Amino acid sequence: MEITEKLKILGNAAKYDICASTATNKKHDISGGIGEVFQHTICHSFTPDGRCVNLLKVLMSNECQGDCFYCPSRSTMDIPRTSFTPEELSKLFIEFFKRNFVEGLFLSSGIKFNTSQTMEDMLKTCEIIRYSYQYNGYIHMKILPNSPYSYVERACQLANRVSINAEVPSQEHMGKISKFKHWERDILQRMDWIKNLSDKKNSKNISQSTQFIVGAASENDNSIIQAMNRLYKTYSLTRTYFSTFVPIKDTPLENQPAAESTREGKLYQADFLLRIYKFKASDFVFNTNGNLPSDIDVKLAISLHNLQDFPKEVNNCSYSDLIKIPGIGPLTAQRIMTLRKNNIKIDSLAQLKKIGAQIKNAQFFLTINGRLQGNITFLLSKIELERERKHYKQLTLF
Amino acid sequence: MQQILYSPHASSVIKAVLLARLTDDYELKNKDHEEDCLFDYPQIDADSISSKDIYQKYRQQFGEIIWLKDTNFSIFKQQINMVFRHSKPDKHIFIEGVVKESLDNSLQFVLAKATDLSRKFNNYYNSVASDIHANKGFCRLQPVDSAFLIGKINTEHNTGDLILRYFIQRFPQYKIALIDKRKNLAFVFDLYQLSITSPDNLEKASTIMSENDIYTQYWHTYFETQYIPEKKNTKLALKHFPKKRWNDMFEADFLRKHLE
Repeated sequence: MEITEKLKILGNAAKYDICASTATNKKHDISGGIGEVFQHTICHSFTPDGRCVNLLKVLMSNECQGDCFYCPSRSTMDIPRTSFTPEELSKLFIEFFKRNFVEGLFLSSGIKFNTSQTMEDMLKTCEIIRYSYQYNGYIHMKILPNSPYSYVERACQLANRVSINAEVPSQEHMGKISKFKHWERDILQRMDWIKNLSDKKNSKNISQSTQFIVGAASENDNSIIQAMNRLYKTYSLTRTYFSTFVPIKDTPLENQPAAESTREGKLYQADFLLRIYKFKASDFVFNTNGNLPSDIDVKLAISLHNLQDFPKEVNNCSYSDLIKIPGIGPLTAQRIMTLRKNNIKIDSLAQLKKIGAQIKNAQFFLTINGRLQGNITFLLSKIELERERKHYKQLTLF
Repeated sequence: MQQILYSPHASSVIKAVLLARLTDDYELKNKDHEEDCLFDYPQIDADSISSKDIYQKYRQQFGEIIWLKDTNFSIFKQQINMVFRHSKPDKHIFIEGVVKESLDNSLQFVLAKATDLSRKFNNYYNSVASDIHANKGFCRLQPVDSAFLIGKINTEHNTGDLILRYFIQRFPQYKIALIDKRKNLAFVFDLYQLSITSPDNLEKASTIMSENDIYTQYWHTYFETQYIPEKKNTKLALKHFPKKRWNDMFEADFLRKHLE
């Protein structure tokens, strides 16, 4: 099959895998080699869905022995199947990199004959890129479930980031999307190996991330957040990504409705609140169905649920208290602390706005030099009004 | 009245502002605008006096400048150097202004964007930084032979040499030329030195190579596969990838087809 055809099939099959970050601390220093890594991400293009394209994100093969009920590449699907050879894929990637089309490689695969052989092909591709083409840039490699330890170890040496998809929050949910995969044994065990390998010399600073399929196993946001919190704490993950379930024709889940599109965005908010703002998993507020509220900001919902903790005095509360105020992020909180160290006090909402706070929400949850800045009842009635307005319909004359 | 001249870099303008404080009747002037002056005033070149002497005199008269030893001072200098690359001539007002503000209040006051002037300064810094960042990502290179890459950039500010330096580091064994269409300039690195020339011949070579390049065709195929129509989001796409960045990229046609 021609490379163009392979790219169409294997690029298309990998597009639902999410990872736009190329930030890493792990460096490869091949003298005179091409490419470098940074602690920030560079985007090389954007698709009409607004997603950044900065990696050559393809499958090594879409031939798969797996049975994942949501997956367009599952073994029973009648679709064109193909694979790249390690030589083809490595050459294609390096030529893309030289033209500055991409910042790095994101390599995943279906399980062609068995896990070991597929992992071998993926590792060989990375080895050619690293050693034959002397590439020092970014590689993100997927670890296939049930991969042997030696392959996981080699992947951690060659890549800057590795990931294994958790997909669902528990073994109970895993049963709803696959008959063969075991959540603890095939996935969490590998995460544990990666965590331990990150301390070793050749794979030092390797980072790992994971991905959940939102809505495929009838799980709710609460269960995803609890699982995500557990994974961050136990396996020191760098990031968690979310991909909304979209039913694919001819799969066992083809009649299951697609997940609400707002869930993905809300889960990303929750992820940031866990990682950066240091909220606890128990702090989040859920609807009766266990999902995050879709009509208001996640942080605002937490604050409204804990009104007894507010208002906070902006000129003397701690950094950790400042970032709990809706509309104040880590950067603004840091600026307030820096000004305070230099004996400069915030004296108005206008000044707070200038240094970056979103006062639209923040004003209801803080005091400036002891003075309240907004009436919380006003905010509550405004939210209530917005909720009611959604139920109204515009009347028509005819 | 006296004029204090400074060059477009951070240490020079900081010295000039300190000198101005030590002199009563003064006007600060950037060396780029030296000829704009109608009258001849006595001039002091800030670059001709050592930093040590100026700081020492300033300390005796006004006291210690604590933030000179601050770790954020290097960030401040870097921001000033970047703002000097902004295309608008009023950048000098903001640069001089924030140096004065840091002396009057503190460096943290400026870095926290607590005043209108420091916010405008910061906006200028962000504009230059995002110009560099966008060109690093959206520039397309074309291999002309095994060790020569030609690319096209579209800079809003005076940032072409910085973008070239980024690619030199990325491809250390390559000769690299970047053509800035908007400014009609080519920034060239030939493994020994960096130069600025006319882009005529380079542009022609790059366009011919690109039209026949199989990997460019592969890229078009790949790019199209990455779009998920169910998640179409025009607002987000245009926010991250505004039309002014489209140049003559293949992606522009694809976006136009799906967004307009």
